[in-house]
Amino acid sequence: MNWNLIRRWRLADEAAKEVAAHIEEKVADLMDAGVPEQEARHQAAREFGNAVLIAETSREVWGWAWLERLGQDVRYAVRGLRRDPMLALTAALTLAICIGANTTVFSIVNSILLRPLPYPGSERIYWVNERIGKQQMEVGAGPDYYSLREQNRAFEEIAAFDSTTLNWTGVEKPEQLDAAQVTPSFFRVMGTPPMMGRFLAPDEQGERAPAVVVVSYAFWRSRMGGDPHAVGKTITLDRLPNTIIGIMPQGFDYPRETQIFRPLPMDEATQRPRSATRPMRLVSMLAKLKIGVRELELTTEMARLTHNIRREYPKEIETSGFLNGMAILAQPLQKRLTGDLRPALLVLSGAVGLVLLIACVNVANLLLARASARQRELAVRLALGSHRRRIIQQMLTESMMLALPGGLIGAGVAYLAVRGLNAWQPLVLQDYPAIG
Amino acid sequence: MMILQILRGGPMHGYALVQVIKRTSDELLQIEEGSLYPALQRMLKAGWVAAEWGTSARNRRVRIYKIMPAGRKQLEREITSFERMLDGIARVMRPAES
Repeated sequence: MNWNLIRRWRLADEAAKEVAAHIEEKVADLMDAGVPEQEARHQAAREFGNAVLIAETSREVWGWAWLERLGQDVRYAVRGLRRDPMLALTAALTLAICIGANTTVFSIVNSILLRPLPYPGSERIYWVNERIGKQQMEVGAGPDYYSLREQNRAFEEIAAFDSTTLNWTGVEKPEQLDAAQVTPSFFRVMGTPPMMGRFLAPDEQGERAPAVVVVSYAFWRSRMGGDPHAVGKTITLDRLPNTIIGIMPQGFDYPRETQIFRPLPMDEATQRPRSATRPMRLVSMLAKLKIGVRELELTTEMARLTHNIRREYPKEIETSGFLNGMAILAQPLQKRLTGDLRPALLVLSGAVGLVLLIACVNVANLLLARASARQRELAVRLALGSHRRRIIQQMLTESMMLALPGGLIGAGVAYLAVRGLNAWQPLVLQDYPAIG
Repeated sequence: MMILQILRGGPMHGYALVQVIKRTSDELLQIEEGSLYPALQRMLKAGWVAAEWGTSARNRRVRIYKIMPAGRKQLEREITSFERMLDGIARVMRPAES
């Protein structure tokens, strides 16, 4: 039992004792004056006033009254709702479903649109791609990566990567793994150091790079059993031995579902200078903006870089018209990851918001119907001297008794829905982080 | 205010307080005896008075109240404002003399 309650009992007890002593004293005085005991008791009680009420008011001075009244209201509300279970059920369920839907949609919106990517400085990570002709490309040309590194003034680091699959053999259950081939700068752009071991060193890139790999946390956990001595071990990928040099921390998941990171087999010597006969490698590019560079400055910088890079191409390509409308573009990585889904999600959250509004109106209607049936009860209470504030308080308590279970069940519904969505992985959400 | 004034004279229990008020006001002020107690509780809470259990003249266990420093200050404040109010009323009632 808590201290307050004990104190409260003591207070009530003391007040009662005090009142009793008062009356006894008075009776004794009156009897001394010659009044018979019976008479004296009556007179004492009369002159004292309503003993119960006074004891209660004395106690209320100490500030328990509101709690007691709340308790009364809650009990009364529960009794009233039990008398009308259909109404209670309808109202609570309506609220529950709508609150659940809203919470679920908000969870999605929050995970995908609002919450920043879980990488340090993620708001400065930009996706760099190219437009050739009128075609927006997902990737950029290999030579451009080197040109950008050399000439840009807006980014502190640029990385190139592409995705591939590797065959993992030499184990009980050979498997095809999702892999990313990256430049050593990739992890500086992502701002995330490995949890164990190290990442690719500056010289570990290009076609003659040593056979080293960094594995994802998920891979380390599920395929290596969380082996604490994993770093330094060798795994066979595409029939070649690869040394594990690092393990990425939990939560690092870019490109999504990547299990193995290994050096990107691309060299500047094979990409530059550009010529009409030499094939260009296509790569994805990420760049980290320098601190303090504004959107407008970035746009100008990208235009300048585009202009420079166009001039790097040999005459025959430039005159062929291939570069018409060519541009190097940069957009925040988060925006790129959410780009397609953004309008859909906003529409969806607007829709569920409206549905909640409609549900509220419906519940309000239900309660209104009930209230008009209770007008007589309220009139009687007012006539008996009940405070207007007191009645409003009780009405609010009753509404709370409907809203609270509604909200709780709603939260439960949302929890299940979010779990369901994460397990089901609907196609449209597949490329996005897990909802939480 | 009256309660604090009486308690300034010395500690006292509830019933005795009522008696004093009745006697000194020549039964002019008819208070419901019980209404004294909520008032005392409020003063206890505000720290103007303190209470402890003791025995009455008739050897009954009663709660005896005594005034605290905060109560004295409060009393002085109330007396001042009461006097000013009385003063104001008096001036209004005797406009010719002022």
